[in-house]
Amino acid sequence: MPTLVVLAGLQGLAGAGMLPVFIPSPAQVGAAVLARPGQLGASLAATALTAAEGFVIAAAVTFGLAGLATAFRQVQAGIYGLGVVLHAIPVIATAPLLALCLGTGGRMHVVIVALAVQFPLLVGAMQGLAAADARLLEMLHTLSASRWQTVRYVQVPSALPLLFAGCRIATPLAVLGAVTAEWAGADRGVGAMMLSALFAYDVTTVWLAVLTCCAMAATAYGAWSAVERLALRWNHPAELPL
Amino acid sequence: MLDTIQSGKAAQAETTAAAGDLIIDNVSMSFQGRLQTVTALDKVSLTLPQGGFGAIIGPSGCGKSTLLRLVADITRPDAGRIMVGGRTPRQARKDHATGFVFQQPTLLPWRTVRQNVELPLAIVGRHSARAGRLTPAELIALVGLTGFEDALPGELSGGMQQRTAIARALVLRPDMLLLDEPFGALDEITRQRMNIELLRIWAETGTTALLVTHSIAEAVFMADRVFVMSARPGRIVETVMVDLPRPRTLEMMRSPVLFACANQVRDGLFGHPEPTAAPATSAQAESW
Repeated sequence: MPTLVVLAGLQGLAGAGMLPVFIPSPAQVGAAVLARPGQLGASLAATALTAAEGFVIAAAVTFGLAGLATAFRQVQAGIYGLGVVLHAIPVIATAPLLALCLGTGGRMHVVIVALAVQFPLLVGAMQGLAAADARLLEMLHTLSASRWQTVRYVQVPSALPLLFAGCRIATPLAVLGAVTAEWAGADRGVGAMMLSALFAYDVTTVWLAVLTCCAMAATAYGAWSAVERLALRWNHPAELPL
Repeated sequence: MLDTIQSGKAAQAETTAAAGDLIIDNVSMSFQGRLQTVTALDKVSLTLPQGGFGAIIGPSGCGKSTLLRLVADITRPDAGRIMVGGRTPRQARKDHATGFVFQQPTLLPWRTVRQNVELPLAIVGRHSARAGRLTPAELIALVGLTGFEDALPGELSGGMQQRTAIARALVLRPDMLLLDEPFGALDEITRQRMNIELLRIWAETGTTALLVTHSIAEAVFMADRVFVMSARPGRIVETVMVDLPRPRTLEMMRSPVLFACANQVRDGLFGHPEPTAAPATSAQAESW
């Protein structure tokens, strides 16, 4: 509803000729979508795929490392420190560097997405695995549960709420990472579309690209929230918007 | 010939009965605090016959929970010996001969009532679980939760959660049921009802039970033997035998025997200048 009000307001202002040149009217943006639906669809698909690939790779690596950190206390600080350092390097700085090393192909894009999302995933997984209630662990001790049974019956389920929180924070970052990577060099994707439109001073397409990024991130976030609500029925997570 | 076999059997039954007792012998335990060493238990000794119901009562911080945790092999004593039905606490735990009910229900919130009760079976492996045990469904019925099998712990009241925890503690048919103030978080009325139910379950399963409580009325109503502990360092200052028939009923709450036993426990807890002769038999563990 608020979105509709803003759109109607913008359209009204555009009609009155009161919008600056760098803000197109919603009708213009809509027309741009309809003019080249194939191009927008292809860009969106390319960026979404890059974001998803990087996310999955980062999730696999960080969850594995978090498991390792839980099993072997001595490597915990090292793994966490590596995550912090990688997180401290701005993605915008690593993108050109990686483009030099890996070229401007899809591989570089995926690596940048993985770097952009690794930290919330790592923190979520490590904190999650450490979040098990000490009383539940004691209860499993009285039942003479093995190490593996303790992980399976208590530690992993206890980790899920924080793991999901990490994923929720990481999803918009994956879209951001993918677009940033495409800025450093790409022939496809929403980032490439945005960059070429900027050089052509095609304001409408730039806005279209920005809105597409927002929609992608919001959809992914909403999807995670829905999965979380289903998976953590026992946890009664606070009702989240989207 | 027949006589010898029978007497042999009788002798055997006698020895196993003695071996089934819970024996705590001169157990001491201290904790290394940040500033000082705290002696939690000081040469505690007690015996609870197999199938009996014992209660440990004492002021907060007297080490009564620590004593229970030693029997359950959650912690180890500094000195002394504990035998749970002829086994060390560690062996007893490994053999799943002890069942523990904590102050909080400590259920897995993501598992239903049935799945929580079945958890010990999943850990032991269904096939190696002891013969003659009650099924999860029978135990859920025994604790009065039929119809709630598929409920999650978060959907149950505190009393129902604790009943689930009791069913879970009994599912492997333990010889020894350890109860650490299981109903402490419940209101007086629910608590009374849960205690009656607990006695019924105890009688039906034939397990030995040891209950930690800080309610005098609860201790004498539930137990055959009440072990009274002093404040830190924890010692057994008095053992009160409650000579009342089973099953215990709410009417017995008003019986003079119970009243006298409660007074005896109270004297043990707070001291008494001239202890009056009580009708119940008493065995003093230590002079005071």
